[in-house]
Amino acid sequence: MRKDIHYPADQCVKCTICVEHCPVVKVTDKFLGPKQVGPDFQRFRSDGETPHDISLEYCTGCRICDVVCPSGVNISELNTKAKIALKKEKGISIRDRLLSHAYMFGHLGSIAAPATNTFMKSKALRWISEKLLHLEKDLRYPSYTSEPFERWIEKYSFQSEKKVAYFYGCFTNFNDPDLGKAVVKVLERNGYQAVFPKQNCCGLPLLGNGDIREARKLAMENLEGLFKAADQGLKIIYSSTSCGMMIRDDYATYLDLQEAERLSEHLVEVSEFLWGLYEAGELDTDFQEINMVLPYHIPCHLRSLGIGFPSIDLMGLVPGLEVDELGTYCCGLAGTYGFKEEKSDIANAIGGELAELLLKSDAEFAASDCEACRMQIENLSNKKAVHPIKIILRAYGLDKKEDEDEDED
Amino acid sequence: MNYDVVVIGAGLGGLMSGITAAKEGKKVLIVGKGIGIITIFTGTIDYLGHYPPEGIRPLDSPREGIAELIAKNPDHPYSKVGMNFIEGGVTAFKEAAESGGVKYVGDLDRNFLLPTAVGTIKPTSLLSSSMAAGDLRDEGDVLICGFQGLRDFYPAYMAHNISTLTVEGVELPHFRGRTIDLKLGAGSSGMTSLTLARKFDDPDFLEGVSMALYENVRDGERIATPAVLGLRRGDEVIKYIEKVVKTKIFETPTLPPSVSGYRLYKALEAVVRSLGVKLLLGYEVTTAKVEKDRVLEVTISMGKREMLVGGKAFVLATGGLVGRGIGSSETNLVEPIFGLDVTGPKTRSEWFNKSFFDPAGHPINKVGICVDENLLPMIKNKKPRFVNLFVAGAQLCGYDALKEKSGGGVTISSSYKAGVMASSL
Repeated sequence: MRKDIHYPADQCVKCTICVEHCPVVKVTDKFLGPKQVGPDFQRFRSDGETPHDISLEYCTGCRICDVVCPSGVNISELNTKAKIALKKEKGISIRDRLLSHAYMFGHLGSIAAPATNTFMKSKALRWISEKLLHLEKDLRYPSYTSEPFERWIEKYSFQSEKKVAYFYGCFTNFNDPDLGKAVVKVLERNGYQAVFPKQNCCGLPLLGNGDIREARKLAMENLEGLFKAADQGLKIIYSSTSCGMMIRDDYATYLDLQEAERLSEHLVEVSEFLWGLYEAGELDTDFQEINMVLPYHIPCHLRSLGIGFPSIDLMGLVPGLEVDELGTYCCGLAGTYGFKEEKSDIANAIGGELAELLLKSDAEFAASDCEACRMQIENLSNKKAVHPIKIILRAYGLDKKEDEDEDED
Repeated sequence: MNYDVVVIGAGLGGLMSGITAAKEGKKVLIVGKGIGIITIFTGTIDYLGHYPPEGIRPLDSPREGIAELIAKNPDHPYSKVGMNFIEGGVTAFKEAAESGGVKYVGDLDRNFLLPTAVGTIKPTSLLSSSMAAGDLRDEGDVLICGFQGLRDFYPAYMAHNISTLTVEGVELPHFRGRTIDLKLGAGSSGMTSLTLARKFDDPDFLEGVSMALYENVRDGERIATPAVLGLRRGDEVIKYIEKVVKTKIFETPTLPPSVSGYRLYKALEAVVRSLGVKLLLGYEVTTAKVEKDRVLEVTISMGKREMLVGGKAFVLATGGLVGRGIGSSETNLVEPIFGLDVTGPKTRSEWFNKSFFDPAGHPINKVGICVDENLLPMIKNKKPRFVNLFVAGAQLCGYDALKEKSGGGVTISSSYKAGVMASSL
C-alpha cells in the first residue's frame, strides 16, 4: 500500500452508484465519470505515470461521488489529486489563473466599484473575456461593492463577554457585505460578539484550478489568524460552506497543511452554530412571521461537510415559513467552472433541473448557503437568491433597520 | 440532537423503516454511509422463489411457500417477522413506491416468471408496472429489442439462452433478438443504461424509437427492451410506445447502473422527503453509547468531527457482508457499531463448501445477526442484547437469499416490522 495514495481505490466494487449520481455524466459524455477517472485509473497511476486523461478537467468537484459511495472510497480526492498532477504537467492557462484570483480583483474592484461594475458589464470586456480569455459571455459576473465588509467591521461596536470568530470569506467581503452584516447582527441578537481573525481568500478557486502553490500561500496566511482565534478557545464561524470545507478538510488533504486539522474542533457553520444554541435553549426565537414557501437548494459542499442541513432546521423555526428543499444535486456553476466558455453549456445543463423547479415556484426569492449556488440560481431563474441567515435576520425584524442605517449613511 | 427513531442505513431497508416510522408520526433520522445497493439492483422484489431452496422449479405461490417455511423453520427471518407483518410490508412498500411515482404490481399469491438480461428465468413477486407484461406464462412470443451502443445488453444472447431452458408445466414463448441502431453516436466505450434512459424522456426521441420498434415487431409478439424507458416520466413512456406499436412492451432490468433500481430509489427518497424525515447521506455511524440493555446515543462521524444523536429507538439496517453491515477478518465476523453477536462461520476456510454449485449453498451466505420475534438482537440466541435496537434486512441470520430468492422480501418485511416496533416505544 502506498502512503501517498489512500488505499480506498481498492475498496471500489465497481457498483457505479457514483456514476449514477454524477451531475456531469448526466449531461455530457466528455467526462468519463467519477469511477473511471477515479478508482479505475488510479491503478495505473504511479510515480512515473501522470494521468493524461483530459476528461478529468470536466469534474466540477462537487463531491457527490463521496457522499453516495457505499464503500467509503475517497473518489473526489483521487480525482482532485490527479487533476492537480495534470495541471502540473500541462500548466495553468491565463484564463484559469485570472478566474482563480478573483479575490485580488476584489481589492481593486471595490476601490472603484461603480467604474468596475460598468466595465464588467461593458461590451469591451465581454469581447475580451470571450475572445481572448474564453470566458462564458452570457453569464452575469458578481458585482463589486464600494464598501467591503472589512471596512464595515471597523465601525462595528457591539461588545460582549461571549465571543465568536467569524471567517467571512472574500465573496462576502467584496460582493455581498450584507451577508456579513446579517451574520454579525444575528449573532449580536443572541448575545455574541463577532471578532474577525486576519483573513484572505480561502484558496478554493485556486485549488479548483490546480494552483496548489498559490492556494497554499493563502492558506498559510489564513491559518495564522485562525490559530490565534482557536488558541483563545473561540468557535470559528463561517457563512460560506465552500470556505468551511476548504479550511477544515482541504488544507490538510491537498495543501500538505496537516496542522489545519486541529481547527476542525473549532470551525462551525453559522446555521449549525445557531441551531446548537437552539438545542441548548439559548436561541432567541422571537421570530416574526414570514408567510411563504421558500425554495431551498442544498449546496454540494454543505453535503460534503457532513454536518447535516442545519439551515433547514433553523429556518423551520420561523412561523409561517415553509422551507421547500428542492432535492437538487449540484447547481452546475461549481465555483469558477461555469464561467469557462467550454464548460458553460454543461454547467447550465447540470442546473437544468434546478432551473425548472425554480421557475415553477411562485416565490420571489430562493435560499442557499453557498455564494456560487446563489449566483447560479440568479443566472438560471428570475429569482433573487439569499443566504438563509438573511431570512433569519428578516424574521428578527432586523433587515428593515439595516436599510434605515444605510439611508442615514 | 434527539429523534424518536434513528435508522442506521439508507438502503432499501433503511428507507422502508424510516418511512414506516414517519407514517406512525415519529420524528425520524435516517443516516447512511452511502445509498446501499438500491440504485444498482433490479428493483424487483423477490419474496420466495424456491422452497425448499434446493427446488429446481420456481414456486407458483410465495404465500404458500412462506407458510410452509414458517412452519418448518422457526429461525428464518420470515418466521420472526410473521405473516401479518409480511402482508403489511407488501402494502406499505407498494403504497410508498406509488406515492413516490413508481407503480408496483404483484402480490404474494403469484410469482411472476421474468426473463433476465442474461437469459435466465427469475421468479419475483413485486415488480414495477413497466415489467408486468414480461411473465413467461402470458400469451405472445417475445421480440427482445436492444439498442446499438448500449453496453451490456445483448438480445441475441438473451434469446438463445432462454431457448435452452424449460420450466415444468409451462410452455415458454419463442424469443428472438434484434438490435436497433438509433444512430446514437455513442462513444467507443458505449452508453450506460442511465444515459440512454434520459434520452427517452425527450418526446422526439421517444417518437423515433417507437417507430423503429413498430417496424421490427411481428404480429402476435410482445416486445422486451432493456429497462431504459425513461427516468422521470413514469408510465407515460410505455403507454406512448404501446399506442404506436399496438402490442405490449416490458422492461428487462440491466446490469448496473440499473435504471429500475434508480427509479425506485428516487421514488422512496421523494417519500422520505415529503414525510419530513431527515436523511443524512455520506455519514458513518461509528459507535454507540449504551446503558445496560438500552441504546442511548450513536456517534456519527462527520468529517473530522463527531456528532451524538439520541433516540428512543434505533433500527440497524446496514446490510450484510457485502454491504459491510457485517465486517470480517481472516478469523472473525463482527457487527462494527454495537458489537452484536454474528452467527456464522468465523474463519474464512469455513465460508464455502467445496463445490461452487453445491445445492446446499454456502455457509457464508447465511451469516448474520440472530433476532427474536420482535427483531431485537440476541445474545447467544438466548435473550435480547438491547430492548430498543431493531435489526432489519440483509444482516439477519438464518436464510440464504441467493438460494431462496428471498432477499427483497426479507428486507421489506423485516424493515417494515422494525419501523412499526421502533415506533411503539
